[in-house]
This record gives sequence, C-alpha cells and structure tokens, in this order.
Amino acid sequence: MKGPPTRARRSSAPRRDAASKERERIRQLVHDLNTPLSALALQLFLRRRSQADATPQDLRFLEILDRNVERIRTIVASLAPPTPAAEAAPPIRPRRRATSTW
Amino acid sequence: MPRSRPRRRVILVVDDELDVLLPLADLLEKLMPNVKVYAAQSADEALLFLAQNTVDLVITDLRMPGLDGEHLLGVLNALRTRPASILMTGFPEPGTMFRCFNENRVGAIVTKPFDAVVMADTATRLLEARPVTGGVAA
Repeated sequence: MKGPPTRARRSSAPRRDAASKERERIRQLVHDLNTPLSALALQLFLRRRSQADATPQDLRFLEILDRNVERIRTIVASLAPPTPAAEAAPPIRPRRRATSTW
Repeated sequence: MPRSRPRRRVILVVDDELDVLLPLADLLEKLMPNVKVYAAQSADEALLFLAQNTVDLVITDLRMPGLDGEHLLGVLNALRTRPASILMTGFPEPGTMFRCFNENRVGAIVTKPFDAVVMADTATRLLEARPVTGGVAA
C-alpha cells in the first residue's frame, strides 16, 4: 500500500518493532536453552546405557533427572515462537468437499 | 580367500560446547559399529583435521565462535572428497536451513535437544549412502 502514512499505520509501527524484538529475544533464549538441554540428555542416555551396576538410589536419581529434563524440554518447545515461514503462511481454511451435497 | 575387513568409517564431530561434543562422540562410537569418531572444538580445528585425513561424515554445530557451522559446510563443498554432513542447531531458522540444504548440500539438520539414537540413525543412513574412500592418516 502506497501513499502518506496514516496515523494508525504510524502508531502500529513501534508496536510491530517491539513484537519483532520480543520474538527475536525468545528465539535466542530457546536456542541458548537447547544446548545445555542437549548436554543433559546425552549424559542421561550415557548413564542409562551403563546402569547394570546401578543401585536403586541411582535409578531413582536417573528417573528424576529424566522426568525433569523432559519437563524442561516441553517448556522450551512451547516457548519457541513460530518461524518466519510459519508466520508468513496463509491461515488454514476448511476445504470444500469435492462432491458437494449442499 | 579371506575377505579384507572394510575400513572403519570416520566421523568428525564439531562443537564448541564440550558438554555436548564429548558425550556425543562417545555415544556415536558406542551406538555405531565399525565407526571411529573424532572430536573438534572449533571449525578451525576441524579444517586442520580434514586437511590431513579423509572423513566420511562431519557433524557440526551451527553457532560457534569464529568460523560457524554454515561456513564450515561451505568449505567442505570445496574438498575433493566431500564428506557427508549433519548440522546441529538449537533453533532452525528457515533461511539458514534453505541455504544449508540448497547451497551447502547438508545431508540432514538435527534440532537440539536431540535423541542420541536419532542422531546415530541419521549418521548411519548418510554413511550407507556413501562409498568407502581413503582413511585416517594418524
């Protein structure tokens, strides 16, 4: 759309910038959290493979760690903002049936 | 006549995060038979290794100080025997993914935190699609 900026368009620009900065901040946060999560998940996997000599206490410890890593993983995944491609994708509309009986 | 044993496949893992690099290298060697895994803490270290050895698969992190994973993939393309490659990332950006698949011909992108078995399966699949060549000098 061309022409001089209307008052509404002018006032929405800073809001769009702020939203974009916030998305970028969360994206960065998700990225930064996923690396230590990987380290924990890999260590857990290694420990689980060598648990033949583990005591019941060790197993309980591993189970608690496992459960909480999974919990953090879910939280981080829910934080992830939609990617630009997903943001640009058109909204999904219900498709009309090919053989209409309406 | 006894058949000669096939050469051990060589994987090079590159990540500046030692807490990811070392357990990942350890796990891949445990999960994948007939594979030797080397670890490099930077792209520069990886390039030094690649200059002296034939590597079948490079698994690299995207974000690293200095030369990043995307640039390392670009350099791999210029090698005479280009290794297969896997890119690890904490957050896959569509632009980066597009460039890595189309320009840098990366074999797979794995998002952190990943399942060790999924990583080993992906590595096995890429190695199986590749003929055996060369070896490790050391």
